[in-house]
Amino acid sequence: MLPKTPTPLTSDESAFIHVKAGESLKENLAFIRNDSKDHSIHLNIIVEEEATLELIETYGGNGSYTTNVEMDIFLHRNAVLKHLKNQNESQECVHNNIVSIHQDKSSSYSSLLINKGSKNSHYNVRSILQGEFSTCTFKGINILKEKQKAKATIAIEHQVPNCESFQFYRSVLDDWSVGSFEGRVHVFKEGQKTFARQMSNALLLSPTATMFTRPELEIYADDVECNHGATTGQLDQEQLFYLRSRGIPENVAKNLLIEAFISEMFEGFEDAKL
Amino acid sequence: MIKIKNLTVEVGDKQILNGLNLELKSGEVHAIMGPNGSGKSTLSYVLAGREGYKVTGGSIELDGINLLDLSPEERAVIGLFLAFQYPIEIPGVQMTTFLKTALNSLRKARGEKELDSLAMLKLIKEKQKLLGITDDMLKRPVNVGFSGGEKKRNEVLQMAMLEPIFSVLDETDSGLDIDALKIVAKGINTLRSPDRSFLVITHYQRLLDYIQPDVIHILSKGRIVKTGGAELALELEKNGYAEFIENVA
Repeated sequence: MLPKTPTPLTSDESAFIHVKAGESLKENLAFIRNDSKDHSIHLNIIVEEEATLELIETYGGNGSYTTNVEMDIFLHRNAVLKHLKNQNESQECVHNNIVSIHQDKSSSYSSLLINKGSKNSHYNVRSILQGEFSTCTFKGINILKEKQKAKATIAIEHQVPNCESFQFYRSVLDDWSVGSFEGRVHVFKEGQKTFARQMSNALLLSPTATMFTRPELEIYADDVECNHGATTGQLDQEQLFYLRSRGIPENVAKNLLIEAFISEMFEGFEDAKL
Repeated sequence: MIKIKNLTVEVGDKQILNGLNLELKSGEVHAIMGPNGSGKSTLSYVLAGREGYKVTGGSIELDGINLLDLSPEERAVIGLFLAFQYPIEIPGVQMTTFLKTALNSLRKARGEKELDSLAMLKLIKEKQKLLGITDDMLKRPVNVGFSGGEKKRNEVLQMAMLEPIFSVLDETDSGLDIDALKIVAKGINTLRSPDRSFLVITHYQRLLDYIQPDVIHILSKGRIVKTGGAELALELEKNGYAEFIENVA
């Protein structure tokens, strides 16, 4: 049984978003910092039976500071959460985000993380599928330059049968930036008929940019379909030449190809912008 | 219009063009024919400014401007266009976005006013009709899922949109059935005018039945070995390339 009251809040900057059964809500949370102070944010989200929440989180600011975000999400039976996170913090900031998600029967969670800010960011998710026919999707875009580092650690537990999970990451890395993706799918013995997909694609714009990808599958059920893949490459020189030969300046052509590379991630999040 | 003088080009360590001379005047259509490996595609890529082709000697001028000093996009700005033998697929970039970006980039670089979406759409509609390009093709990413014929028609569509003064058509006829060939030829013929020139690179005489060139050149081992009128193509058709190649060897 998932809770319907907030868990104890761990910081002063907190929000409790509660969508009652059958209702639907759109919530826009913006955390813009200009005070160079550290911040601890606790977000507690409960979406009850048959309820829908569209949540947009935006982070930005100036100066040097740390942001810690702790997030607990509970999705009850048939609940739907569409979650967009724009992380566009100051380039001197450290941004940590710990997310825990519990999903009941036939609930659906889908998220897009647009990760552009911070010198150092860590997105750490534990997703627990504990009701049958629930589904979760984690999509992420990393756009990093200079010495930025971004790490995503996603662990999904398929505790019951007939659930689906998806992890799709696209990273565009310039200069000396470092991207890291660790995606883990843990299928319990009871998690028959699990369907899980995982893909990380990286585009390196400079010879000194680095991408680490570590897929992990831990499977104890014998009737599942789980796959994972990863690619790391550079802009296609032939495509670039084709565009330039039509009069498109090199920087515009590169941006067209970069946009093309990440465009798929916006499916379902058409309003989102870089 | 275009003057190529004594052009020598290396790819890797291999010399491909060996002192090529070619001159086209405004309004002329020239064809270059030659066997595989004679340097036809190298010539087209060198003209368009592709990396990996090292010009070791000679010059190329378009309307008095030294092409070899210019980037591929700058060459397009002064009016050069290459219809690719193998058009490149670009997943994630829609056809209309591509056409719009290309035309407006050229207009901007030339100090002309950029076209708004409506004017652009009107222009695309007008040109697509000419080439039998469906709305569906324009909704797809550039060349993705296009048949061989559709890709070639798309090259000519781009040419019609960008209105270059000097177009190089690199084996635009290869892989086309006769109906597609007629559409492509019609597209090219519509663009013919006293201030535009075309260099049609082809392996076969077939395309020249539909696009009548003023001059035909035969390329062999990186150099032009014979220049003549339409009768040259017919002669080739009958006797093949053998006698011309032997002449050089």
